[in-house]
Amino acid sequence: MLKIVSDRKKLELKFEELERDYTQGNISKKEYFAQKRDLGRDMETLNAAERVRRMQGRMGSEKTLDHWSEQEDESKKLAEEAEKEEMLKKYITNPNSIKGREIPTREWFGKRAKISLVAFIVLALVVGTSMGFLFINKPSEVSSVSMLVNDSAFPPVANNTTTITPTNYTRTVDYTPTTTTNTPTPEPEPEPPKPTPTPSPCGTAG
Amino acid sequence: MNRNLPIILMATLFMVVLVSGCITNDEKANQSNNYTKGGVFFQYPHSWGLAKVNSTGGVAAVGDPQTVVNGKPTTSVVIQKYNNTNYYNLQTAYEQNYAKFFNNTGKTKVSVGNFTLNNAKAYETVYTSSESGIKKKYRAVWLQKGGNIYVILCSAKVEDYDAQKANFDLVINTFR
Repeated sequence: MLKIVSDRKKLELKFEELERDYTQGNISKKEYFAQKRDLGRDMETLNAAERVRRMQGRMGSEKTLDHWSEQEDESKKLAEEAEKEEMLKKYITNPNSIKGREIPTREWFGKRAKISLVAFIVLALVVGTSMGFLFINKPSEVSSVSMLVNDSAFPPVANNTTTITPTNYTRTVDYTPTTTTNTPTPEPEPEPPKPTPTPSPCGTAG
Repeated sequence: MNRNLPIILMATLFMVVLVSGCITNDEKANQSNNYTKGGVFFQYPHSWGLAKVNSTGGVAAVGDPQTVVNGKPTTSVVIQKYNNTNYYNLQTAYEQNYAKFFNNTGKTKVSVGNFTLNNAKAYETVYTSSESGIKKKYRAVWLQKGGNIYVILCSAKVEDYDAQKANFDLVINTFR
């Protein structure tokens, strides 16, 4: 019990000191409220402990039965509160214990998403460009297949030459057929000149 | 909701990349190549290629490589320059050319006509021919460019001709 009292006094002193520091401007508002909250919590714990002890009869005195029954209810309530407080202390993490650790924030997720998005866009660009180059048909300025075109809008012009060589002279006939289907018939070959008989100088009379 | 936002964005981007990267066939179908050589310019279909030209007065030839038979494309366009030794005007040259063109040949006239191309008169003759065993349809467009007379001769198998009309028009309409 003495310990609780001394703790309460200590807490009260701390409260006063805190109020003084805050009034003098030695600590920031944020820090003030944080410390005040911590001290309040300690004070509550202390109160709970005190109530528990009182409930256990260590601080008991002679009272009426009603008083005791009321006190019993109250002590039950206090015990529940104390238990609750203990549970809270046990399982709820003190914010100060995780002060040094870096908690992933929404902003951090945003950064990661942005980086992923940029990386994906770059990847998509590279893949898209590559696919485009892969599938695009290059202009066929020069055909891969060798082709020859000999169609003509003009009528065919053929210059055929037939050479006929008779026995004693040569005669050349030029002709130009107008169609490809007609077979030109060459002129009949002229008969070679007959050799004139020469009278025998020493002819015998018959 | 906020946590899902990056995932949704990524999924959307992924879909956009897929859609833009893979579904482009229709665009490609409308693409064309340019030919600029020998003082002439024209556009021809993206899937076609240049061909060697062995025709009289041949300036350029393009064809569809997918229709090659014995090294010759059945679907092709050849540009020829008219040898105007007599200094004919376009109409006279055209008429002179076809005066005996269909006489005793395997060619059959389908239609003749004229139209305006780039503010200049152009003459055309459509005919069929069964030379070298393949029945083909031809469209010869005669036009004047500067002091020269050019003939754009478009040809394709009879059964393919109608399907190739847009490609032939591309060459004819862009010829400069």
